[in-house]
Formats: sequence, C-alpha cells, structure tokens
Amino acid sequence: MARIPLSDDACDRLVASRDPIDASRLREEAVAVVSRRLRDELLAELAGELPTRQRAARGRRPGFGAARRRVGAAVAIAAVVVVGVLAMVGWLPAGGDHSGPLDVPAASAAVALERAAQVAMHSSSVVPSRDQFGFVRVKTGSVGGMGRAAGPTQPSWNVWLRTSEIKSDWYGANGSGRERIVRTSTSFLTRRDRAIAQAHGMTLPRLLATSPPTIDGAFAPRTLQTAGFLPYWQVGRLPTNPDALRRAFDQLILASDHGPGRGALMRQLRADPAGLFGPISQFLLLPTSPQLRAALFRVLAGLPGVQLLGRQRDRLGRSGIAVAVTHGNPERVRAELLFDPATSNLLQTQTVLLGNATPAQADERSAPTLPVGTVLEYTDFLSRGIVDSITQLPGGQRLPLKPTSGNR
Amino acid sequence: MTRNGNDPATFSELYLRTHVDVLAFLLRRCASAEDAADCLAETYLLAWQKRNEMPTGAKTRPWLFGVARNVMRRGSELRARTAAATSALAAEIERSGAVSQPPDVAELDPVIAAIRRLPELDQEIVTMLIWDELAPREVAAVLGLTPNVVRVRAHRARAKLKAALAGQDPGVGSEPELTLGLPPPTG
Repeated sequence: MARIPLSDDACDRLVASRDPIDASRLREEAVAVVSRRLRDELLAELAGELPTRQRAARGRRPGFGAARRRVGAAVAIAAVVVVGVLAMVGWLPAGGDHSGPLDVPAASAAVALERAAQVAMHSSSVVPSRDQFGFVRVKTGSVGGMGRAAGPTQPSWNVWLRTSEIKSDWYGANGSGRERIVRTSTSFLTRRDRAIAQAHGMTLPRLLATSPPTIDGAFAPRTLQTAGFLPYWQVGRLPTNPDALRRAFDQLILASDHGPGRGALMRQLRADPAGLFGPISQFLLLPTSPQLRAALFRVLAGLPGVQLLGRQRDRLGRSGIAVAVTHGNPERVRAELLFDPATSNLLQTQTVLLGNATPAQADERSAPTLPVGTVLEYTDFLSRGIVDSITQLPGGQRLPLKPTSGNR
Repeated sequence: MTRNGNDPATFSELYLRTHVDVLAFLLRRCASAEDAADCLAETYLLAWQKRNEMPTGAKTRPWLFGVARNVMRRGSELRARTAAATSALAAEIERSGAVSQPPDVAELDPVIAAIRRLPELDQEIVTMLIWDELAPREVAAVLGLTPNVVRVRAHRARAKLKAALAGQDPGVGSEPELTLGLPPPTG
C-alpha cells in the first residue's frame, strides 16, 4: 500500500483530532453546576486548612462595641441613671479582622451545616424527661453603656463597661427551672471611659455598687425564657422537619404583629429574616432532641447569605467550623457561630459590628462612635447535662439556690 | 499566596479558573470519569495543602497538571466526604458527551494505536503538547524535565508517528481507517 508522507502539521492535526475529550462540553452549565458542588465539598473539607481571621489580624486593637439592647435588670445604679444598657458585647481578646466582606460561596456554609445536621441527628439526646432538668453553662461577655442623664446644671455623660459572666440554666421540660448569672469581671472598656467616669467623680466600685455580682432565681412552669425569642417549653414543641420549622418561625414572627408585643427582636426579624441566625444559634445551645438540632442546622443553612468562615478557635482554644450571616439595619452586624464538626455541639456564638449606628442614635447616647470590627457579643459554651433538680450539677455536686440572691 | 491567596475565596477562584483544564487533563488519562472526578478532588485538596509552593500566573496551570499527574500515578485516596459530589460530577460528564471516544473504538483507531506504541514518556509529551495545549516548557514543568529534553523527545515522537500514520488523511481525521497497514512497533 502506498504511503503518503505526513507533514509535522498534518501529524499534529491527526493527533489533535483524536483528543478523546471535548472540553467545551465540560464548560456547559449542567457540568458546571456539579463542578461547583464539588468545589463546595472541597471548601468544606478544607475548612481545617483555611486560615482563621482571628489569627490573621492578631494584635489589632479592640474597640468599642455598638449599641444593642441588653436586658439586665440587675444593672441598676443608684446614683447614676443608666442612660442605656446596650448590648454590646465584647471585645475579642485575640483581635479580629472583620473589616472586609466575605466572598465565600454561601453553598459552602450550606454543606458544612448539612454535615452538622447529619452529625446532630446521630448525637445522643439531651432532652430532660419529666422531673428532670437540662443543665447548660456558658460564658458570656458584654459591654454596657452607663452614665448620667443631663440635669438642669450638668451635662450628660456616658461610659462603656466591659463585663463577663458565667450563666447557668436548668431547663425543665415544663418550662420551669433556674437561672444563675455570676459576674466574673467588669472593667472600663478604654482608658478614656475611665477618665470620663473619674471626671464625674465615679469609680468602678461606685458604678457597680448596686449591681449584684450574682443573680440567681427559680422559675415557675412555662416562665423560663431562653436567649432566643421563645420560652423553653415552646422550644421543645417546635417541629423537627426543617421546612415546617422555618414556617413555624415565620408564623411566630408574623403572629407577633397581632399578639402581645415581643419586643425589638421580633420587629427586627420581620424586617430581616437573616436575623434568625442569632436566635437559632441560641436554640442550638439548649437541651433539645437530635431531630430538632438537625432541623435547626438545616434552617440555618437556608437563611439568606449564610457564609463559611472556615476553621477557627474560640476564646477557650477549641477548634471548630465557623459560619456567619450579615444582617441588620441601620447597624450592620455579622452573627457568627462556631461548632465542633465531630459532635455538632456549638462552641461559641458572637456578633461583630460591620457598620456603625446612625449618627442620630450615637448623638442621642452621647457616646463615642463605635468602630467597625468590634465583636458585639459572644457566648462560649462550657458544659451541658441532665440533672434531677435545680440545685444539682452534672456530676452530682449541689449548688443550693440562695433565696436572697435575686429571685425573679 | 497571601490575602487573596490563602482564603476560601481564593481557593474558589483558583478552582473555577482551572478545574475544567485539569478535569480534561485527567479525563484523557483516567480509565473512567469516576476516576477522573476522584483525582480532580484529590488534586485540589493536595494543591491547597501545597499552596505555599504553588507558582503564580501562567505557571499555575502546568503546576496543577503536575499535581494531577502525581495523584493519578499514586492513585486517588478518595475521601468519603466528597464521594457524592465526585460521583455526581462523573455522571454529569458522561451525560454531557464530553468524553467522545469509547475505549473500544480507541483500541481500533490507528492514530490512538500509534500514540500508544510510543514510549510512555513520549506519549505523555505528545498528548500534553497537542491535547492539553501546553508549551514545551510547561510540559517540562509537569514532567520534571528540561524544555530541551521535551523538544527533542517530541521531535522524535512526531517522527515515529509520521512514519506510522503515513497515508492518513489529516483533513478529516474523524473516522478510524481500519484498513491502514500499521508498521511494526518501534519501541
């Protein structure tokens, strides 16, 4: 058979024509969708390799917190009018770079949260049975604004105090229980705050003179509240199907239009569903069934704008996976949640200020403007268990309820 | 890599920018789409772990090919956590028709057969140059050779192919010419 010699170019074209792959088809949308899904899986897998923002910005100067409501009945100062007990919490001991928007795909967070849901589903139940109590202990941090209202002859003034507390709750299935809050430290947020207070003749002990260091109280059935927007006995009745759970939350929020007022939180949730992130995080700290915990993670995954932050450590040095959502108006905040991927247990929640309060609000408080990047509040999970009474601790120790310590 | 080099967004950008090329590279060389998808996942996991060694710019792509090649050679250590996603990707690749040459046809194709008769290293050089459209210096980076060695071996490999494929019509090149008399192996 006669053979016609090939040129180099002809040879290359022959080889090229046998390329078994049509790469253009790999760029079609159907393939791209599953490719992105794999990317999301890899991002979740790599969460442990991704840098923490806390590490990246270690050494950054902590700042003020922004204003947010803080319910603190005990923080009443006799000689000083509490101009605003504002829920600003926290400062981040290790600093924290929260300055930029997060551009991590939301689907990555959804994958991480779905995994958490699957782990939660197989976790052991910590729901108290009748005559039992679910015990939860957390550490919280807060910054409150204190000062004096303007009088006929004196101007108003305001300082920020930093407070940390250990909070223990005993949740009974019927909504009864006990709440014990022990203040562990309080300080001026900055030297400037100290100077302002001293200029008005106030010292820290005087500011705290009528604020009891411990608040301890028992609660009748159906009266023990949670840090979310529901009392504990209602949390236990939430549906465990994620879609039904989200509808239940929506209905509860809408119902607050017609029923008794549920306060600023519900108004915020009506305007901004992503704000559910915070209350759901608090529900996840409660003694609940594996099914409800899984559903809560799945509702979180479905909130608009939830993002994966990657692996981070909390203030106690524990490592976990962090997810977050940005919400709020006029104060833009980022609510963050850190969970242990092995157990699905929450390790920490915190809220970071991304945008300052409106100037009008700041003027009204006569308070310094609060810098972007401030951690507004945090809760560190410490322990949980089932006990037989509100004076028992996991492990069998007793912690008597002192009747003079502030029953509410 | 630093800011934009060390965060999830950068990983995402890297993946989106390069994964089609890496996937095509793997599909050309793996026995199945499933294997290629597994290797793709492993490649990016490994690449991220070695991100401090990752070159920037135009060198990123061949560097990733090198990682992918190593993954293929040692076998993907498939992680169970990405199994669902890699299986879904493999299924979609097969549905897409991106893999156009069934193995049984490839066995009978004289051009494929001629390529397979080349020494293994030369096969890699030729296919990287022509199918993956890498430059000789990029092929050299993937294979750990010097560009000059790549050029020399490519030249010799092409000569063998030309000898083997003399008489082939380079204009169409679609249907295998099954009656072509192939030369004996040249080793």
